[in-house]
Amino acid sequence: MRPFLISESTADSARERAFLALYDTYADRVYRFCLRLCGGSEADAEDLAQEVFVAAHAGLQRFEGRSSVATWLYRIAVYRWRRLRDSRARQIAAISLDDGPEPASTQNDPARAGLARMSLEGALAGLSPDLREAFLLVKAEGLTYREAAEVLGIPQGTIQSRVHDAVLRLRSALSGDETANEQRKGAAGNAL
Amino acid sequence: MRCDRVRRRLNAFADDELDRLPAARVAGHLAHCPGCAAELAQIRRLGAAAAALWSDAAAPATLRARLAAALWASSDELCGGEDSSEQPSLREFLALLERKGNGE
Repeated sequence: MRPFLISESTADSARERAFLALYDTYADRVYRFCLRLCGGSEADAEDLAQEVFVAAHAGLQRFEGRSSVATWLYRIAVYRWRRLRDSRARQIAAISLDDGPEPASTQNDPARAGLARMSLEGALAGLSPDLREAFLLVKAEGLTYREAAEVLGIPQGTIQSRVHDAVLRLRSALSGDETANEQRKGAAGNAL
Repeated sequence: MRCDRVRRRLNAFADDELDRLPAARVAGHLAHCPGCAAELAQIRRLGAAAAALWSDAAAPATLRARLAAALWASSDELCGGEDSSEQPSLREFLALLERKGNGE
């Protein structure tokens, strides 16, 4: 099937109309989620959103409606983001092996680290990917724990503990909150 | 209920994810514990800040064009430009989208 130029006038099959409706309904939401995952990088978010919709187009016929359309798109976005992130990490590792020592990281630059601490964006970037995904799905996207668990393919209890841990870490990073630090240490102790 | 037990549940309470009985216990504690109430307020502020992050961003117009180009390219690779017949699952998908659009 020839694809379409994503406009009503050229969408002439059911598949095209379905995809057009899907794009019009979810483009902003998917793009915003991609932007949040990518820490505000518009170029990365656009790349990622494009990958999400290309994958959605390819998978449209296999979509069975067992999850909501939004949950399905979030799942694609997370999966593609992980691939993008891993591929970037491999590129950086290859560059550092080929070209000598890495440039100074944010952690070694007190001025940049200080700036990062002051903003939620910076604090989010400091979270592990697992915590960031869970936190963004629940707190920024407004998914329930059940929906977020469905997106990430993990138990609901794991979502709850990841979001809890993310909140403690973010509060600690944003305010140097000793209480949050103590609770985090306590939680780690209880888990052992 | 002790403060440490309440604080372990505050985030789930803020997310409306506690069952009714534990939620009522937490709410009862919060009514007379300013420390835990302040902690809950902090958690809620953080959630609101996260929801506000890039909340006014919209998909750029260029995304539509880039997507169309990418789909066109992949179609040339995979299908050689031949039309395929409409699948029943697509009609179901359209119906599903309509139902979602109607808030079901």
